[in-house]
Amino acid sequence: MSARPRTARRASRARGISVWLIALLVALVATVQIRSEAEVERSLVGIDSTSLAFLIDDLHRANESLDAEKAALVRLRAQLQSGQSGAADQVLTDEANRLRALEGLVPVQGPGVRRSTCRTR
Amino acid sequence: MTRPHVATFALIALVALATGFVLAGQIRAQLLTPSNQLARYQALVRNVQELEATNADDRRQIASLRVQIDGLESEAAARSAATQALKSQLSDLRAHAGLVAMHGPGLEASLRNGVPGPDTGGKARYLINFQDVQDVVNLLFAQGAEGIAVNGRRITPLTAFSGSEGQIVIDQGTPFTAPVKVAAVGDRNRMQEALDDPSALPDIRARQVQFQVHLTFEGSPDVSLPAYDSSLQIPHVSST
Repeated sequence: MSARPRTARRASRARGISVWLIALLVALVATVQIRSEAEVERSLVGIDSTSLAFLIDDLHRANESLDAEKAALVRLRAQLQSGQSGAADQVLTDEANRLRALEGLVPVQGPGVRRSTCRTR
Repeated sequence: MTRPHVATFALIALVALATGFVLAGQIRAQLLTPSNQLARYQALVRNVQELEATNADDRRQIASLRVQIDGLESEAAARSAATQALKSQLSDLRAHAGLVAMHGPGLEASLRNGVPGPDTGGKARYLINFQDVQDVVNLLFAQGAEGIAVNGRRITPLTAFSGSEGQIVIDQGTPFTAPVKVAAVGDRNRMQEALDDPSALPDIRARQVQFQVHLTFEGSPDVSLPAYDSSLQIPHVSST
């Protein structure tokens, strides 16, 4: 057996491997490309970035209100825990007055807006 | 190797190199744009998820603080008759404000999106929106409801509904979409009659025909409503 056919076989095998490697690489790149495009498409379905930004703004504001409520309740709890004479009565009276105002059971005043509409011909 | 051979190989190598650069540039440009877009979008989604988690946690803390305060008030009320009387008044006011969980006879109404259809209004009218929920809540209050919760969120005298398209926001809660469950405690017969009345809720009735929007309800001898768990601050109001 001569060395020539063996060399030719080796070269042919190397070419085959190269072709497979290139095919694998192309398949990999194509898969990454298709998947990333599909992922973008899928995740953007339903809600766009602008709407998300507005949502974030709304949630920030809502959470700030909740923080203010928490702080008010912590103060109320501290007053009740202080155990000073009359503290509980004061807390209960203040809270009752606040809820009466909130439920519209007593007249209230404060800053606001007044809007009137009239019919034009 | 002859000189023309070398020149041919060099030319092929140059063309291959140029093609490689062009291809790499193209692939990078196509891959980077969506991946940047995706990263930005994912960052926004993460931000929303974090804020929603904070929101839920804050509301849990508020509910817990209200329970603790109620306990401390009860302890104080046990020591004095005057405090007991004040506590009793406050309990009534809290019940009316939706700050106390309640249960009783009532009904549960369900609102579900319809199917998209030809629409000249330019709005997604097949979707249940916040005005629909508001209409149902107003109708139920007008017809004998004593307490209402929408998807587990208790309605109070200060409750505000907002949202866009099919998103619904109640007070400081996180947005949700249909299906929406409205639970009401009160005069069950009156509320059922009102929801059965074909002249009530005209917009929803029209969209039931046009887009198959769903409004169903069922009476129940015992409906449970949770206590309100968000802010009830009125910093600008003072009694006259």
